Amino acid sequence: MNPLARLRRDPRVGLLALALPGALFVLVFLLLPLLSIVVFSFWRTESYVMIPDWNLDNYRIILGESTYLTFLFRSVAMALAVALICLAYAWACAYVIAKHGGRYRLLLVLLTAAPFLTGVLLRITAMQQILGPIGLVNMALPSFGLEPVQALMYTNLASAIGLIYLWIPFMLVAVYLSLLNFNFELLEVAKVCGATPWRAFWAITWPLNWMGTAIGVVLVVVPTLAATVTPRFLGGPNGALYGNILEHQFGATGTWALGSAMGVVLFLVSLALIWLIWKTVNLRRVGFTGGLAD
Amino acid sequence: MTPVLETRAVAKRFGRVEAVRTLDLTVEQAEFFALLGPSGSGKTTMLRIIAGLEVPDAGRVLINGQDVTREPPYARKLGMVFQDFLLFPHRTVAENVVFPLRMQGQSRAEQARQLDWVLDLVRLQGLEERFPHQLSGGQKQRVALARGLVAKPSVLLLDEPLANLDRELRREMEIEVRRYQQDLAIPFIYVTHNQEEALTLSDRIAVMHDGRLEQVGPKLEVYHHPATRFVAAFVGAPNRLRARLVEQNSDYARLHWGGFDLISRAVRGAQEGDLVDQFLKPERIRIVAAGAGLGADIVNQLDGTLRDVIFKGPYLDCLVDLGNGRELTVSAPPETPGLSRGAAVGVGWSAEAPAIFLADGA
Repeated sequence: MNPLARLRRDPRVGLLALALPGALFVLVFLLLPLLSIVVFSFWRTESYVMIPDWNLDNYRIILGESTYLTFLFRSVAMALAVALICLAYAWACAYVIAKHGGRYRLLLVLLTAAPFLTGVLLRITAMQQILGPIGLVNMALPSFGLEPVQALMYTNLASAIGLIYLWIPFMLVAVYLSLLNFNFELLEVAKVCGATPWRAFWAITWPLNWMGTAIGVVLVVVPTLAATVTPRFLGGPNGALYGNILEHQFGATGTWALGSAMGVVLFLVSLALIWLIWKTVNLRRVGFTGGLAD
Repeated sequence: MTPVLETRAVAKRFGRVEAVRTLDLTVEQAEFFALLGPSGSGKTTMLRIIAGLEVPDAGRVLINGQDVTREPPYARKLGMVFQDFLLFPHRTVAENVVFPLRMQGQSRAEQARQLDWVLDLVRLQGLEERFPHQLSGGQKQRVALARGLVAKPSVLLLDEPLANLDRELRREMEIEVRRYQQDLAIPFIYVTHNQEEALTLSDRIAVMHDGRLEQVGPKLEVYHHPATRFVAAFVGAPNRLRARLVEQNSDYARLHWGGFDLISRAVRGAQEGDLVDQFLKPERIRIVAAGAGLGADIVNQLDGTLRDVIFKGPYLDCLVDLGNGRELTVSAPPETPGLSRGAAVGVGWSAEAPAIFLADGA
């Protein structure tokens, strides 16, 4: 048998050929850009030019100057708060839809994602029209003899409302899909066993749907950490988040190397949060049965 | 003595379907009570009403004399075992079993004591730390039974608990379930569509059909003296002989069936010329080789040919062709002589053997 024919008979060759397109995609569009920002983060920018002299200055700036860390903490707090509120709201909706939606379930879930048909920018400007200084709420209040709500004008609260509005569909779909696979009969069992609806929820429903919920939390936390458009439009200059500062490095100031380092830090913080959330998922305790050795 | 469970004129409809129609049930202390009926007869709905998982449209449910009709299930202190086991997949065997005790707020020591006792009862010691997906079907059902029994409920409700087990295991579990009931001396209400199970396990049987009770009584009575046409047709895999009533006096009737004259007991409410259904259980028919005597008390004697003999182990099922286009299934002891395929045989039954009712729609 010639070597070529032998190669073609080797099952590993087929497997490799099958994996190649996907692997190439990941390499070109994920790993290479990631690698490049890691590399740039150790360079330096001068007058809009990247200079490859290796140093740690960018990280020293980020970790040393309290401004950057403040914005980072503000973003993390924002991400957690947004995720928590999304979670409560989405759970209520998803539960009602999954349990009582009947044959309209899918339609109802798709409806919650309807704002996606318009695009982020349009949605956020729409929110601005409602919450902003010349928005619906604050223009209407004086005509009833009430003071405009300062808290809604270019504040972090306004950003939070916008972000919650933006990411609820992600959380909702994650929780809904989890509930779709949940056997509601288990709740009947729990009730006959003496559990009040509230206890049955915390003892059965919540732990068995925690994995899906955790995925929803990740889907909300990660994009909120990197949010730029929403805080710019709704938060204004005083409500800036980490993403705005990062964006700034690639725009006006042209400090790309520092921006890259900020990107690396953001990436690591995101990974850390995902890891923390994943640690809360005990596969046995979420009723997961696939692939566990007995 | 107050019955443990009583339902009075309970009714429930789902949309246009009347699942349960004005149903009265009484279950006494320490009895094994079977609710037997085909699927869609309303037996599971009835059980769910007793458990509190459905609220009846009308009527009342009493447990130990107390009206619990409007009480939620968690206030009723019942045990229940479901067809699909429905163990909590994220909890170990021990955690599943003590769940009702935890909900009652029992101390850890008490939980451990009860767990020990009930695992001993269902013979599951050593599996405490397993998760449900690591158990066999029979073990899962034992866990479900243990969970239902651990809090010593006043009644245990069982909804087709053995339907998902294979035949061998079902036989084994039937004996187990019967043993638990006898050990604990609490009433079990056992819903099943399987009459063999109902006959094996229960003291009393209620036969349900179309949301109504057809007959309630000791199992032998239900088996041997069906009260309605439906019960006669449903219990005991009988032959159905649709005949025409020729004449009857107060005790006996003469019938015409496929060219034969038959004698049976009188049919209540029937007129001469009416169509009647006789339900004749295979073991109530005697069968002998052609020419051998059937006995003087056998008033109905027919000749036939054995079309087939099916060996069932403890008995034979003989398919007898009577030559008039009719066929009877007859059970016989395996040692009966002269029963080979194609043999000429005589079959016969007494006037009292068949249960007889007016044919439906007649």
